[in-house]
Amino acid sequence: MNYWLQRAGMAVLLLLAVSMLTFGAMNILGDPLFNILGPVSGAKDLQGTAQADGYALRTQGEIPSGSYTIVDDVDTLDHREAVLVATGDTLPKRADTIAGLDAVSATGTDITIIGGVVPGQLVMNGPEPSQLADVEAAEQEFYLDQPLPVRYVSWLTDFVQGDMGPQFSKTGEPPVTDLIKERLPRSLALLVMAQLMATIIAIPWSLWSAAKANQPVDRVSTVTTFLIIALPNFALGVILKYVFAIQLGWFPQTFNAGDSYLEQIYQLFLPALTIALPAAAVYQRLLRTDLITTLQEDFILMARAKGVDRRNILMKHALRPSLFSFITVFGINTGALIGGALVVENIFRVPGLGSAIVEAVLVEDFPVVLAIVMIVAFAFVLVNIAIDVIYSLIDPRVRR
Amino acid sequence: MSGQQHSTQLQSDGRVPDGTLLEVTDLTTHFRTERGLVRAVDGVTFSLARGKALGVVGESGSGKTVLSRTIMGLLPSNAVNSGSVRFAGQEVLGLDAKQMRHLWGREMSMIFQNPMVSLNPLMKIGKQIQEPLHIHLGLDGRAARETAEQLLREVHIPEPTKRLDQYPHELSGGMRQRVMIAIAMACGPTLLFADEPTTALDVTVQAQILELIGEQRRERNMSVILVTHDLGVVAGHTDEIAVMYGGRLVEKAPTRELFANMKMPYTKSLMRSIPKLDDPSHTRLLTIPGRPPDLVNPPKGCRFAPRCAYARDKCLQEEPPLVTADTSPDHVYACWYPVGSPEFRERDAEIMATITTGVELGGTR
Amino acid sequence: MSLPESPATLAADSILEDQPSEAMATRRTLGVGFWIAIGWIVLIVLAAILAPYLGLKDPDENYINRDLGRPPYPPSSEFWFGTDNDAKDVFSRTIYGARVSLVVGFAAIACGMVVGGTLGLLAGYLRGWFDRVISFVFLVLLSFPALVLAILITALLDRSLRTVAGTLGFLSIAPVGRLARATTIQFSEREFVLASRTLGAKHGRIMVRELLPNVLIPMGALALLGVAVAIVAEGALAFLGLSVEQELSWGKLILFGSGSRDLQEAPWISMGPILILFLTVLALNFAGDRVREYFDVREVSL
Repeated sequence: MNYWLQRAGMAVLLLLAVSMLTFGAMNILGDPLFNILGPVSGAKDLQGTAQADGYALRTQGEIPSGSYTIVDDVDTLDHREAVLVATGDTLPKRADTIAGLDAVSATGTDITIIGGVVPGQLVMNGPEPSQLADVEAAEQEFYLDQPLPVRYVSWLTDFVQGDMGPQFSKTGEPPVTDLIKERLPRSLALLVMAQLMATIIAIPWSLWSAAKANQPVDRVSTVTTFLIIALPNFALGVILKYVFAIQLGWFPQTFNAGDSYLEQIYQLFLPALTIALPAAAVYQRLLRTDLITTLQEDFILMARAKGVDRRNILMKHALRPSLFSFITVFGINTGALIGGALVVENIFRVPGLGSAIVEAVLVEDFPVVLAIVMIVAFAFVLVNIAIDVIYSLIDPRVRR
Repeated sequence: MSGQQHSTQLQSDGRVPDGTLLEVTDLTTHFRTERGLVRAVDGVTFSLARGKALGVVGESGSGKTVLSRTIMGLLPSNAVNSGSVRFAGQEVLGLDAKQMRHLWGREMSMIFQNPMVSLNPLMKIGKQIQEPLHIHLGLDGRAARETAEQLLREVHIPEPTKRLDQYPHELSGGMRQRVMIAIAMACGPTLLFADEPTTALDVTVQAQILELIGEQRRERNMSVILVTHDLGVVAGHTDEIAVMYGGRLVEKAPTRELFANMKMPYTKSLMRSIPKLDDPSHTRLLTIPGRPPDLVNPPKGCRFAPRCAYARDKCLQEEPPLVTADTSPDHVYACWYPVGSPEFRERDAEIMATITTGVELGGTR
Repeated sequence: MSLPESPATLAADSILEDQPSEAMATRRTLGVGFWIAIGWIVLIVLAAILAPYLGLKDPDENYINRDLGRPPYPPSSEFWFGTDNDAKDVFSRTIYGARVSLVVGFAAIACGMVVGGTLGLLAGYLRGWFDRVISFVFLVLLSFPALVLAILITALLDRSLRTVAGTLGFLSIAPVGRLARATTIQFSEREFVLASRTLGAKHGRIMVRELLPNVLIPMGALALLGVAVAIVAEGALAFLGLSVEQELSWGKLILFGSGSRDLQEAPWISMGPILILFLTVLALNFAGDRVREYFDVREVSL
């Protein structure tokens, strides 16, 4: 009991550290305000409004494609940096980063630009100018008038109560909580499917390999795992999409959130497989090694001497004691798979947390980023505690 | 399946008849390894009667463990063997695992050296005992549980009902070895291999375990092959003793005869490494100088010669055959200059002289 | 009678342990495969460095050929990996793309080695509160999925080569540091360290002279594996459009060719870079694995 208390305390401490780091980094490195101001573009003069509120804000008009120079005197604005964003693409891409606002040449066409804000950076996207949000209201909403520690505590209080706040960008709608509610189940389904598939592939594969240790089939399967592991998931995703979705047409190329659940699971098959295959290869290598080690234990010989057949030796005697490092890596790997899911969601256009965080990062929508990071960290901690529980279920020696 | 028929046949005859149970003829077991062919067992012949106990004694690397595992057919895949092993009149050498499985646990059982690692750590004791009952006798559920409990009672484990639901780590070493014996006894085997059954145990427990094995042997008219490095272990618990060295049988005699008239200097050295009762429990035993022979390139001549204080030139050149001793027709040994021969005495006197003058003995040759 | 003791005689029968299984796999040579892998890595590195002098096509030039009709053109003797929709040569783009991928890969690991190695060494040697703090920091860093953290950092800073390499370097601090710490703890209890400690050697001296060389071996063995991980991570970032801007890299090239229409009509746009990336990661993994086996390094934590 004491142990579990300690474990839970550690987890809470870890989550607090993660949230502080993320929150701090985003508040220090970036200025949340510019996003609250809403998407602004064109030649609209915002200067007066901003300066009236004590913000040194400058906007520039349409920037012709090719190159441009910043006209205003940078120093008076206390600029640190500003960012150009090219629009007109599905994913906004940054054309350039301007440090110190020297003359910068921008590439690409149709660039809209806004000058910087104190003390951070300014990002622009969206074709049409829109209203400048009420800065004071925004400040209160996001506790921006408070010093950082207070801001953090306020945010945390809201967060643990299930209020993740409004989004920074656009109109603040839908609230982050709603966005997460919509996106999380998909990502969760994807991850669970992937881990299930990886396990379903890895366990029989490693049993079979270990039973035929160092025979030609086993060597071939070892080489196979090696090849799979060397293929990064974004490359694997593209290949699987090409082969199974485009050439063979067995699976849809993209995800459609409007379809029925069954349909959605079918659509998630390829993305899940993309995540599962490398994971299965990792698990197979690990399990195979551990199984071979276990099969050399005396109690296996004892089981053979009892007359237990090969199948039951593997299934009943060798498998369970060989699962420990697999379970550990299964937990650790969950973190890596979340990263993988992020990439894969983009290949197959699955609107999950992964694509949400990429989108949010690009428009510097901090509440969304923060919420997702916290969920990911929480999931990670949860998985690791679950692993601990499973450990004690499997091994009576560590039962607490 | 031929294995199935085979074992039912044994069963229907009222199990294995009395008389010779096991006949091993010119058995060799070699291992293919990277270093070359390891001749772990090299031409061993002996037989064992029903209900008798044979002690197989030798240092580590003498091939005694491999011998017992060869007879049982529990060898890794890189093993090559030849010769013959007849169990209850039937050749069992060369049977595959599928066929052997019907003998394992039912006709032949094995107790391993280290009870700490020979029980499945993640399986309840009860389940481990019930496993052979299920496999060979088809016992399940309540019947299996009751039999398992009965078996635990027979090996004198207190509170057997409670033990059934415990895991190995909850039991002491001696208890675990008793559980191993219970598992081995589960289907009433006719031949029990006990491979160093007491080495990993406390001295006080050792005697109890040996006593238990003896008790089971008498009750079940079972044959026992007791493999050990310790002559002291086999002294009171076997009918016959076979001494192995470098994969070969070098001396074999009824227990009493062996202790009275041992012929091999090697046996004599083993004798010296028996712990005395009045020694403190962790005293280092006297061991034989030098290392066991390299089984890939065994020495020419007598394999023990390079380490033998009594070896002469002939020992290094020619391998001694197994000959019958003059003291008993059941006593065979392989030595050119056995204990008691004039050459032996002559050398012995020299050694004694050296010791009394205080010169360190070691690497006599 | 006193006879010399040989403790080995009481050990269990060793013959049965002499199984061929894993013992055979750990040979004491690096093997031909290792040198082939290293050869490939050297080839790619050289090609990346010498790209402007190899007579390759200009990666940004549009090689529109009226005879071939509208681009993209499939692989041919002229365009080895074909061209993209703008008739840019995929092969030369892949070679140029290697520059960013490799620089980021090697620089990131170098950074992780220096910082992580130092921290791990200090934590493992000094123990106490310093160790506890460092270990907790490592734990916090490791509890972020690396890619999420990388996205965060590149989003908050900029997307220059320096930042991307630095970010991935920062991410490799924790795994490298943990290995260094574990190895240091293992070695600092060995006799030779204890000996020099009792002889009054200074802490710094012990760390540099006694521990560092021993910690460097496993770290070096993991370096090749780490480079592969960093290259893949950069690829993933680039694939998300979050890596070095303006310059080509493998991930970006794969992204460019990964749209449904491109895959359907011109799969070579993505398959060329995938092939080269795959072979490079494979070579790094393989060589790294051989080195690790050769030096018998157990922990794989990267």
